Amino acid sequence: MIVRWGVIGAGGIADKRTIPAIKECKDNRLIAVMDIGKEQTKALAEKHGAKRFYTKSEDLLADEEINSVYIATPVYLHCEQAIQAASFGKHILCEKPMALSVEDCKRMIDACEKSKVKLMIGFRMRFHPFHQRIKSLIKGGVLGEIVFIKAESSIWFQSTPDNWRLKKDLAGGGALADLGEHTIDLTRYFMGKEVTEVSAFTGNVIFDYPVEETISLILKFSSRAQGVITSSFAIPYGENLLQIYGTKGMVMGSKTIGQFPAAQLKTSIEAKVKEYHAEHIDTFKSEIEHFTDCLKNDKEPLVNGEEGLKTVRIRQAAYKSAEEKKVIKL
Amino acid sequence: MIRFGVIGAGGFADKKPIPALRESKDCQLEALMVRDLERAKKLAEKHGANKYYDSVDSLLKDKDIDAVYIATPVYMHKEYTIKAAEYGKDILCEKPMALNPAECKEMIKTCQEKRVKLMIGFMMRFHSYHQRIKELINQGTLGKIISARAQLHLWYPDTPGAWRQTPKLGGGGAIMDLGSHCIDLLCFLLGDVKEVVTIVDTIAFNYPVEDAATLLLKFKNKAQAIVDNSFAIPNRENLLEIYGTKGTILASKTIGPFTDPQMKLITERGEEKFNIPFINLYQAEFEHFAKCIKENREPSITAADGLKNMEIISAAYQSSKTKKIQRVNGGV
Repeated sequence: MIVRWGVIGAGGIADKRTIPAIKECKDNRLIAVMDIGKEQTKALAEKHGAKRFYTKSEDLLADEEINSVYIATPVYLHCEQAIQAASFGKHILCEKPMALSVEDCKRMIDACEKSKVKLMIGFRMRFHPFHQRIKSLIKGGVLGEIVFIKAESSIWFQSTPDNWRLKKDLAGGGALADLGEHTIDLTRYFMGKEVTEVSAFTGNVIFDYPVEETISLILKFSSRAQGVITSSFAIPYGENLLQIYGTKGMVMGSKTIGQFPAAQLKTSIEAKVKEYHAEHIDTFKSEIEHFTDCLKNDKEPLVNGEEGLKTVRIRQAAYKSAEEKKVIKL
Repeated sequence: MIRFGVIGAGGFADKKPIPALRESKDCQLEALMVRDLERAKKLAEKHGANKYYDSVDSLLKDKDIDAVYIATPVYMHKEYTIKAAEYGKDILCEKPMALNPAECKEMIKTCQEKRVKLMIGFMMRFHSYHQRIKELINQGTLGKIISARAQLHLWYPDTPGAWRQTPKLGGGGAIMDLGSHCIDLLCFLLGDVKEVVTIVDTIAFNYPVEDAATLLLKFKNKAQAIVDNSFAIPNRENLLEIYGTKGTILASKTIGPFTDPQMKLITERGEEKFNIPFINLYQAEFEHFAKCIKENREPSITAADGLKNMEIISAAYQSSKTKKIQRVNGGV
């Protein structure tokens, strides 16, 4: 089986990272791209060697050569486009954040179940080789019971207010929606437990964005472990540190979260310290490979719609906590 | 020469502060006190104190003593500080300052009335790496501070009779004992705290105080910070992270008992690692206090800092009960 892609929202991240990854993956073909603006989209099709280009998603979805779509439009469009894609029988890889609300996530899940198509959400960081190693250490019990986790996802993002990422009704939020959702998903993945309580501070320290520039969250898990997540658009020189403490050992990642091509991992298990270094990491490619495997072998994606929904629920709880100045129970 | 009397010389004081006091310039260990006279005698012999006592009053009556170092369990800080002030002794009181803000205010009032100095033992401020971070922030090297994190974990299992594990004696658990240091350090670097939200739990052990606590602080300058404390993690890192718009500081082993701290600064020019000589924090603290007494200056860590610290801790515990984000009261 060949995954024959149509890309909806082919500018931005699709153009920079995901389409090049698709082209590198075995058994994957780029059939068509869609974006608004005819000239621009035509240029993207030529650049990436797509057979066809469209300026309307329904035209792309009617293309019978396409069996899978990658949705990388602004967040507010994800829900309707995914439902539409499902009705055309296309499998879906949808960028994160999954949608603006938990209700929209549910509608997407229902539509995909009804049409029997795969739905995967773009939490590609789960596929980082160091994160896979951490997950297997936790699963194997090597770290003991996990009691504390901390993850950060910050960048320097200076933009004008017309950018869709800075509008709550288009992006779903600010730093947490854009960056922090990755760490919400990762902490849930590592812990293998659900979040039961969320508290958060939001704010703008230097920018004057209509969404949060900087956010900190406390998470409480069903195991009673505690977690912290931080995200900011105003930190240019971070390493996005990841720390997980268990009763028998700890792991610490540096530059494993984000788009760093090289990363470090330190494990300290029963006083034995090991350090690892990795280069040429491309989690976009790993994500496409996983999607391909799920289609070929009829497997449920590791990050399915339910997983995406749970992250959206935590994001919304964090915003509610900051606004109502209280701890939100889930 | 400032002649010290140590109140509560058994526990922790015996291990690190008293040996440091003996090494400190212009400081002399004149007398020490624990409640058991035999033990007091042995400790006096061990540390070379001229005198020993089994009661606070008898130590305070000793006219050869200029200043006291109070290292008792937290619940006695207020009573002994007020007594010492009434005897006209200058006071270095261990952290946390007292059980609650009201006690801190009483201590401050009496020390002001009696015109004695009151300094609180947040010795981590004297760490050469923390002093350097403060300089880097003041010089603008880090730009505007966006967020920070101070971590202090250690392994502290059930210990029958331990005052740090008894709410009435220690005033709390991991936040009082470990968090107080982290909070003070962040206030030293970032200023005053406006709001706090906290979760506490006792996950690993059976004592009635928290063995795990996570705090979020929002500062008046809008920066956000994390404090994470645990009595159930034998940590070898204890990270201190400071993120600014022009630079990041990542330090490990500067918080806690380590003597091999590491720190790097990341800016547009790349990474810079530091290799600053490590100093004994207790010695630095005693020497600073002695100097302030000699020169009649206000110590750099004031009782007002101790009160602010307690107000944040108090708001943190309140938050953990009310499940709300709490505002921190505004000091004296």
